[in-house]
Amino acid sequence: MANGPTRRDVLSTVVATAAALSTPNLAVRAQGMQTIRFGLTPVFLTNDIDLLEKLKRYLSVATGRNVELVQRRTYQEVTSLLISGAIDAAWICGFPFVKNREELSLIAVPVWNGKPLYQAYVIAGQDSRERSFKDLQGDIHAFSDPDSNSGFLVTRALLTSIGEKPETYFSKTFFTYGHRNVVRAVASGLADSGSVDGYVWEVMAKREPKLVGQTRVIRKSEWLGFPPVACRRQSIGQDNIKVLIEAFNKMDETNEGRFVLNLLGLDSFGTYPASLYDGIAEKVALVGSG
Amino acid sequence: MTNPVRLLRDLPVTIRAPMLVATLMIVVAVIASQQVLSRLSQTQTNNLSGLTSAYLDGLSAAVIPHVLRNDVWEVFDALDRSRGKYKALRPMETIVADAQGRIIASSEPRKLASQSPVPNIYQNRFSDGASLQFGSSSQRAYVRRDLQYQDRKIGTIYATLNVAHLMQERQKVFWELVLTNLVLAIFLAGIGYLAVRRMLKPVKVLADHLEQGASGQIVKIPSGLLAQKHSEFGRLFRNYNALAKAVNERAELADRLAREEHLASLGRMAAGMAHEINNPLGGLFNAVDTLRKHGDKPAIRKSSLSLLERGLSGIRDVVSAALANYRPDRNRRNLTTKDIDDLSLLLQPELRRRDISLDWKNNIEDELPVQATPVRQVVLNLLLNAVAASPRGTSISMRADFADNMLVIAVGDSGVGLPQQAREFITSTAEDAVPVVEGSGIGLWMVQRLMRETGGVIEVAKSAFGGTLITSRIKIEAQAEALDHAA
Repeated sequence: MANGPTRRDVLSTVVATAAALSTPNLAVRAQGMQTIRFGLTPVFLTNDIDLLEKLKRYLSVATGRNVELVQRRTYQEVTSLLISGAIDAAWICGFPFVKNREELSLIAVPVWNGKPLYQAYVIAGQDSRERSFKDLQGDIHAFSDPDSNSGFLVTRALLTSIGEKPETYFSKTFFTYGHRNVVRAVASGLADSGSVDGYVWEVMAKREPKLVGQTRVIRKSEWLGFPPVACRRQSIGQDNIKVLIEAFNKMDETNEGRFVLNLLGLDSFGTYPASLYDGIAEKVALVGSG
Repeated sequence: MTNPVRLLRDLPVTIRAPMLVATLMIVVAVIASQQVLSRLSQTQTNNLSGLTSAYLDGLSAAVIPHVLRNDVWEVFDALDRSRGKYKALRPMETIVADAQGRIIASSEPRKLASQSPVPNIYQNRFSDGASLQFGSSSQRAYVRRDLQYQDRKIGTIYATLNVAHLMQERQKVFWELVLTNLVLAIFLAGIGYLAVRRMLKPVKVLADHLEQGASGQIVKIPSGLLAQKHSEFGRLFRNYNALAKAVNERAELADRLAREEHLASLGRMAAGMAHEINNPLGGLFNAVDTLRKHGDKPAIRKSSLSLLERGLSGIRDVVSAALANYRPDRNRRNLTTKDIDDLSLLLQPELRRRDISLDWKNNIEDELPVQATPVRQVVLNLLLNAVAASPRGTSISMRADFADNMLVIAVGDSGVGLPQQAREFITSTAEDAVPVVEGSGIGLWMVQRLMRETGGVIEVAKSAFGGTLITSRIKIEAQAEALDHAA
């Protein structure tokens, strides 16, 4: 990445701060320190081990607890872990949140470009002749994840609205289980087109312009609620969740927090009502009825 | 046309030997290089085979679960992630196909799209059952691996590998070998040249001395050049010096002998002259005696005076002949029939003393262009010898003929024949022939010497009287010319 030196400067600050903060916690840890198990869906950031390290370190320092990051291949696996209580909280997608709205509560919603919203993109190869969504018929199409809003639901809902289904509209579809993989599949020509998270595509366009430059956006969806950080509804009020909410909401107030946000390409995390995801809920309803 | 082999043979050994060394070096270098390259090629193929196996093993393990589920993305992801991880192998193109020969995913999806059948060219490359094939330009290698799951074929991996770097390495090694061997060959040829030149230095010394010896006196090799006492050349040089010493001594001996021979021949000449003077003396005294007794008779006085004159003239001729040995081209007089007939007169006293009869046939009628004196001396000597060899009361013969430009004078006796060595001597034309039989008289020696001077030959046969017949043949060249001119 281009901003290496800056990152290194900030990293040293983070390490110094973490060292300073972790010293008083040694006593707590010795007494049987509490652990927060935090789940992550395979959004683009899971490719960056460095970022995960920094996030873990920030959350550990900010919550004063031992934070364990839990990753699974699919959204569904992470969602299952969250609902079953195997993990305390997770950064999931709007679609599983909507599907499991009765059992889940929002902890924080990322703010990107000043809004807690993002778009779903349909992309094709840079050199392809496709101009609009209609041209994609008969393509090999790459989806991100069957439980992803932008990487599946939006396109599926679109097809439903015109009376089509992915498996018949496209010649072949496959799931890559990662937004970045959708970009790779389309860029390499493995897939003719793909459904991808607009936020991921935009951030990747800055960080991996060569790869993203091989793709082209064919369609952008309406603005939808940004993938949120959620927990079990019954966990609200627990100490772990309280410190976690505070850690996310105050991420932009500390250097190390801003460093992580910078890596994520986000402004901050904020508290928003569940109604933010009504747009997604409509699509779920549309697909469910279709 | 020049023969290159001959040209090569004519080169100095100091050039030929290093050339041989260099040639051998080049031959060795070529063979060694060939071996190294062949070995390198074998090793590279083995390495490639091993690497390919490892690559395909790794890839198979990674993709088999995804092939079973026909998972396009995961197969592609495995291919894509393995792309940069096999630097030594450099896969250019990898295809994973299902059991039906349809592409699940390839590393180049734009060219080899998912769901399309594997192009025939990929399958045909392995029609002979081999799993590793090289492209025609040796820049690429093709490999195939069947994917087995529970003893069932579920798919196939086809990979195209860039092996240009192997060829480059081979080329690099080739040129390194060529360069190294060239430098080594030149270096060793130089060393060989200097070493051989140093080794052959004594040969040159020997050759120079031999060459010098051929054109003059053989010179010993100076002791300064005899350094290595026990070396081959040291021994050779000492042997050469011993030889030079012997040859020089022999030459000196020959010189001395020649001088002695010269003196001896002078002595013999003097003796011969005395002998020739002595021969007619008997006749001359006889004539003087006749004159004293019958000088008043005009006829007898006349014939006696004539005999005296001819006898004295013969003595004068002998002296002239002797002088002619030192002052040639004087007193040249052609042979006449009278010169031959004179000899019978000169012989008479001896014939009477020994009671020997003479059969005389002189068929020479004209003057012959041959010096009279040597011929007279030859014939006189032969006659005197014949008389001396024949017992009392026997006969000798003399016959002189001129035919076919050849003067032939045959003298026969009634003796017991010539000893073998005397016969060999008298028939010899060699200049340095020496009468080996003591007491054979200087007569034979004179005959042999005079015949040599006149260019004639002597033949020895059996005479009509059972004794020896000595025939002298002298070719008359000038007569032939005269006849040619007359014709």
